[in-house]
Amino acid sequence: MSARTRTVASVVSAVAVLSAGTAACTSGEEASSTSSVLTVAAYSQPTLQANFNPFSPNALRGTVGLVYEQLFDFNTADKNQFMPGLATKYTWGAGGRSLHLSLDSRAKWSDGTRLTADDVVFTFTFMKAHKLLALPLTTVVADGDGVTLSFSSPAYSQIQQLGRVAVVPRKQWANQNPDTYINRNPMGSGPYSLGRVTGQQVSFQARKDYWRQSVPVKQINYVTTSSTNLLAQQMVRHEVDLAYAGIPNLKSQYLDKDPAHNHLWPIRASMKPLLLNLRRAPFDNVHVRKGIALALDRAKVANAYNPGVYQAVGPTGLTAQSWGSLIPDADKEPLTQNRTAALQELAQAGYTLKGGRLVDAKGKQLSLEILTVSTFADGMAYAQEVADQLSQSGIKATVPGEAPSAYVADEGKHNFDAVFGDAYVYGSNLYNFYWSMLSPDSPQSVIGWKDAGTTAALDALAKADPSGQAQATQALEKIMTDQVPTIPVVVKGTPYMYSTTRFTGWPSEKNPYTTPDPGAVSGVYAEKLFLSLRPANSKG
Amino acid sequence: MGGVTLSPAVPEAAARSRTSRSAVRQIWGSVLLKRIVFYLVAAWAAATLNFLLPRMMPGDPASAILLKMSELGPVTPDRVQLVHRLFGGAASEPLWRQYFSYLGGLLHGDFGLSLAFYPTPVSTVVRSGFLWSVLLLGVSTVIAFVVGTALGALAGRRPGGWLDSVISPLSIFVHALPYFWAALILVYVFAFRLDWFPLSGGAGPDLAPGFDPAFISSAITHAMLPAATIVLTSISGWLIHMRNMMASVVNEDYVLLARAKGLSETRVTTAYAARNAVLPSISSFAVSIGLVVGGSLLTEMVFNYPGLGSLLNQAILNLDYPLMQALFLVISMTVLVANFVMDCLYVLLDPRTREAAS
Repeated sequence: MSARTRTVASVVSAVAVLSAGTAACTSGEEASSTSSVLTVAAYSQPTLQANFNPFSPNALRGTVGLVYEQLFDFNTADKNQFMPGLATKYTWGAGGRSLHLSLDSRAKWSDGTRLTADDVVFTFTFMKAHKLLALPLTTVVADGDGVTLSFSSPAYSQIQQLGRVAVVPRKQWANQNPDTYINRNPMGSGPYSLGRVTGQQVSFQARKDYWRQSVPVKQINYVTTSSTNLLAQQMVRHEVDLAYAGIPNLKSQYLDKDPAHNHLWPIRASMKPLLLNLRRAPFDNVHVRKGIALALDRAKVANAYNPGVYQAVGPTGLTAQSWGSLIPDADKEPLTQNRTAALQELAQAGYTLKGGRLVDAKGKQLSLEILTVSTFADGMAYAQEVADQLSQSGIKATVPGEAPSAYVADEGKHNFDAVFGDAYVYGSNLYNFYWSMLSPDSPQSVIGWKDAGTTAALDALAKADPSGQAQATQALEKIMTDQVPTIPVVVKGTPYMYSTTRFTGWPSEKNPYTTPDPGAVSGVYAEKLFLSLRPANSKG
Repeated sequence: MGGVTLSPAVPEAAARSRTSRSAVRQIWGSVLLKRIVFYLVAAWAAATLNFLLPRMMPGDPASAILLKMSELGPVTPDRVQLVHRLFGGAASEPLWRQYFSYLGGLLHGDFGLSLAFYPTPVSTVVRSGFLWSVLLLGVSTVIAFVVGTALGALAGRRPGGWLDSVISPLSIFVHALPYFWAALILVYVFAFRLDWFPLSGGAGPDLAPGFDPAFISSAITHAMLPAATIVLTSISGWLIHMRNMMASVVNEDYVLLARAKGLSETRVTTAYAARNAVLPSISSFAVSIGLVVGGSLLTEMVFNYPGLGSLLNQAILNLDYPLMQALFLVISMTVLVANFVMDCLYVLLDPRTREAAS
């Protein structure tokens, strides 16, 4: 018995020693607030696993852009200007069936060897062999100052995807399987080399011998942040220089804390429509869709959460700022809310307003459940606003928030009345935007829209040369306004937030030299951004 | 004469002690055997449930991964195709075939490739979070148990005494604090406002995990707040439990007898009352020790801690069946092993279980 008391006592004392030891260590604080390091909150998950394979969907951010370089891109935040990467110029030929890329002859791999046309040819061949290209590519050959690609059908609409190919060195990749290769020691041509990888951070070190220019930011850390609450605190304390997550009450929680240094520029890269299940009555009736479209006050929806980040959008789904020249004047502005007109449309579908409820001939109220993901506070707020507005017009609209897995399951099984959550990316060419939303072949098109006219119009846009793209796009815009397969509501904004305490020269609304959407933590966008920054003069 | 009577007495005593020892061994043996069979069946059932439960969740991995990607930024159609090609097949084989290849994999210790961190093997992913969680939760669970039980014993020794009337209401108040809220408050006060501790993470960002003083001291500094939250919110459970057991045990006859015999108060409290009162706590302690490897989802989310709880969260969000299976398996097996060890210890601690077994 006394033996047992002794063991208990020794356990207690061991614990005491241990906690005393911990307390002693606490005083040894680490002091790591180096001013030459730029920190990006790049992950909304707590842990990472090394993966620097640019072809993997789980490649860590920075793999493309900082280590490997892309061919070129287009500045979608501004006027879709060409942004050179490894390629300095592209020239179409053979009616869109051939494309010549001129390569920058200065480009070098980090081991000092030249990046040649052969590496580019290898990259395209490799991607084609492993089904990584959704393009009708037939052959790639080295040609003159670069390479020439050939396609089996006109590839005009895929120019941005082509530009975003990250070029890898043949000598390192020839025997790898891009599906399962982790690539722990990447060798690229970009301005940074891989530094340390811990479970929660990846750091990149500036290369002294980068071929294009000297690199102004010496180290970049991509860190994990598990919650928006934590991110807000890190940003207020200037532990993070660049972030993209939608923190609640952005203005009061971030901007107002230090107006001189904290900045926001919402980047609007995708459109979020109200999707109705066209397989179900009465949503197969165009008058019902038009009625619902007229019952919405889009500006109010856009401001339901973090005002100023989202924006109301016109009936074509396109914004006048970026695509104004392609949109007929009548459809440039967002549809204004008009309850009378909405009722007239709905009356044509047999619905009448009785005692505040919109009912059909049998007395059944028009009702819809709007599917959305419950874990996204912003998404819920927007969906709830849509539902409230529809309810005010006599439609019974509810928002049953669902867990992400249930949401994708219901969407996949077409088990919904309406969805407000999916967004469609514009890109530099609108083919992918309309295709992913409307084509029955697109995995993202969940509405069940099957229309020969739409398919023909999409085909025409896919093959249209740059001069014919406006006309081909307008055919699709007309389908959007006349038949309302989806109801455009808002343009989704990504809150790009940056701090000027350590670095200046960030792209902004006034100087949009690159597109800082979350893609800016990778790709040509990121490279351009990080190479344009300057250390701020110490005084904070 | 004397030699005649004396000489058989020695082997007789030896034989008696031998039979009593072998009886104990027999009882031990049968208890052990029964327990082992029970635990083998439980292990199989747990492995099967670990396989089935994740697959009963709605949705498919490819869509879940795409949804996550689309929240981070625009997803281009060729990425969509790639994700469907890589992950679309994860749930397409017939269930029984998936089950047998899963069991086969278990026997070889092969859990396959994680989907959320594709193509990293599941075992690598689990290993990356294992030590973080086990050290953080192991240490804080033991501290909470030892301190809570000791305080509970002190409070329950004299129910209604001054110590009891201070500690018990206080611990009930602490017990009622929502865990998440307590964690957020601690972060706000001690990390965000006072800057005594780092805001988040497992260790300093520029330190590679390893056995060097800089990393270890940084890891300990980072662990202080999460550990404090766990201790703060779980200590009262042990305390209240022990206090109530103690309060009923101190009135038992054998405690009264021990007092009447004139034993010292410390002896009566520790060896008579507390020893019996602690038994139920020990079995719940076994379960909590087992759950240590599950990580603490909430702690790890609030503190952005790289442990198993964070991994489990990511596995669930991405419908990463292989990773979920492996994590659930580690958790259930550790609970079983901890229980088994406690079962064995119980036989030693509590003579009544031996009686029941024979």
